[in-house]
Formats: sequence, C-alpha cells, structure tokens
Amino acid sequence: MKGTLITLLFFVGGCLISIYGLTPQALLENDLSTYALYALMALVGVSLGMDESSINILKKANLGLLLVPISIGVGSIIGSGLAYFLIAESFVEGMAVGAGFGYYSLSSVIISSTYDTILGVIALLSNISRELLSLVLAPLLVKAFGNMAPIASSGATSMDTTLPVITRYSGKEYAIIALFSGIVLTVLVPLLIPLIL
Amino acid sequence: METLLFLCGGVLLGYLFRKRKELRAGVEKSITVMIWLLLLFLGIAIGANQQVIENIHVIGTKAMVLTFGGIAGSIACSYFVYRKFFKA
Repeated sequence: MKGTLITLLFFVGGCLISIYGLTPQALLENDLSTYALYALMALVGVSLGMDESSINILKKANLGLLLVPISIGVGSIIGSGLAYFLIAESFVEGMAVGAGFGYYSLSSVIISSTYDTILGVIALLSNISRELLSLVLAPLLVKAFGNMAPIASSGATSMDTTLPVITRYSGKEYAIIALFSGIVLTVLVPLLIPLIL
Repeated sequence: METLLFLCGGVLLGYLFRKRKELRAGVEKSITVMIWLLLLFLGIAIGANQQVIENIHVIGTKAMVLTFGGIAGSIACSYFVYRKFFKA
C-alpha cells in the first residue's frame, strides 16, 4: 500500500508540475521518456535473467499449475478487449490494457511511451483499480466462484500485494499457486504489451 | 517493438551476471526509480494535456470497463482449469 502511494505521488507530482507550468525546458525539448523506457526494459530483463528462482519454479510446474496463469492471462486480455469493444472502442487497445494484469506501473509507462499517452493513463487507472478491487472483493469472489477466483482477479499482483488476502480466503495451499501465477504473469507484461500494440 | 530488444538484451546480460548476487538489490532499486521517473514524465505529459483533464470522467469510465472485463474474463477462463485440476 505504501509503495502504491509513493508511485502515485510521482504521477500526481508530474501532473501538478505541468499544470503550474513548472516543467523544465530540457524535458520539453527532448523526449526523454523513450530512453528512460529502454533503460527500464533492459533493467527488467537483467532482473529476470539474474533470477534463478523463477526458472526453478517453472521446472516444478505440472500441466494444471501451468494452465493457471495461461488461462488467467488469456481471459484477462480477451475480457478487456471484448468489454472495450462493447463500448465502441478498439479491441486491440482493450487487449493491451488487459495485458497489464494489474501491474499498473510498468504497463502504463510502456503504453504511454510506445503508443498513446491517454491509453497509458487508462491503463494506470484500470490496473490500479484491478489491484484494489482484488483486495476488497477476495472473500466475495471465493464464495461465488471458488478458491481460484481471487488469484485470477489479482493477475500479476498475486505474487506480492494481494498474496496475503489470497492466502487468507483461498487457503494456504493456494499460496504457491498464487505465487507461481503472479510471477509468470509479471514476466509476461513487458513481453505481451509491445506484441499486442 | 524495439523495447523487446532491450528486454531480451537485459535478460542475456542478467543471465551472464547471475552469480553476482550483490548486484541484485541495485537492479531492483533502479527499476523502482525508473518507474517513478517514467510516471513523473507521464504525469507531466498528462497535466499539459487539456483533453485528459477535461475528459477525466470519460477516461475513468473506460478504465473501469476494462477492469471489469479483465477480472470477469480471467475468472471465467481460469474457472475451467480450477474445475478440472484443482477442485476436489
């Protein structure tokens, strides 16, 4: 929660800087965000490459376990695309936001720097609310759709921020599934969004 | 699309340095700082964009539609996996 607030403060701070016309000249003249994004993607890659635990966890996966993040990912992307299409917007843009899987910081900066600023903001709001809703709705989701539902709604966040809630309402035996699913979906975010857009 | 090149290059680099565990904390911290920086840039771009400020309710509504679509789709899709592999 504290991390979310700090992250949001930077976004709100940026909004305030430009509303009050305090943007530094250097930022107006150069599009630094593209280079910053390249650096970020390289760093995300390095952290993935260094992380042997995520490779080890994959070795343990059986078919059922592997299908959890795959079905959540597919459902998320198609569900968002379809919902967006139904309100007469672009199916592809909807899919891209859905492929954020609740990882609002990374998905919004990728979309805003490589595609469109406004869709980036939509991705930010949509994926933050996905995390918040997953936290709040977890007990209801378990009652209505079973123990897997909060893991599905949490998407990539089931490996950290929403893990405690999932463990509490779905049961301890679902913690490892949540962790696995969250890790796989987190890795997929920077891969899938550029491929979709 | 070129972002994927940086991602793959990073994975390779990270794999080469995977034994240097002392670097890991620095990499994670740098990721957080880069995300902060980019969100600051995104905020600056948004604050200067009259279109966003005037249409914030439309943007908010679109975001909620996408959220519900994504949550519903993922629950529906994973429900089959749950029924077949997990539910006792």
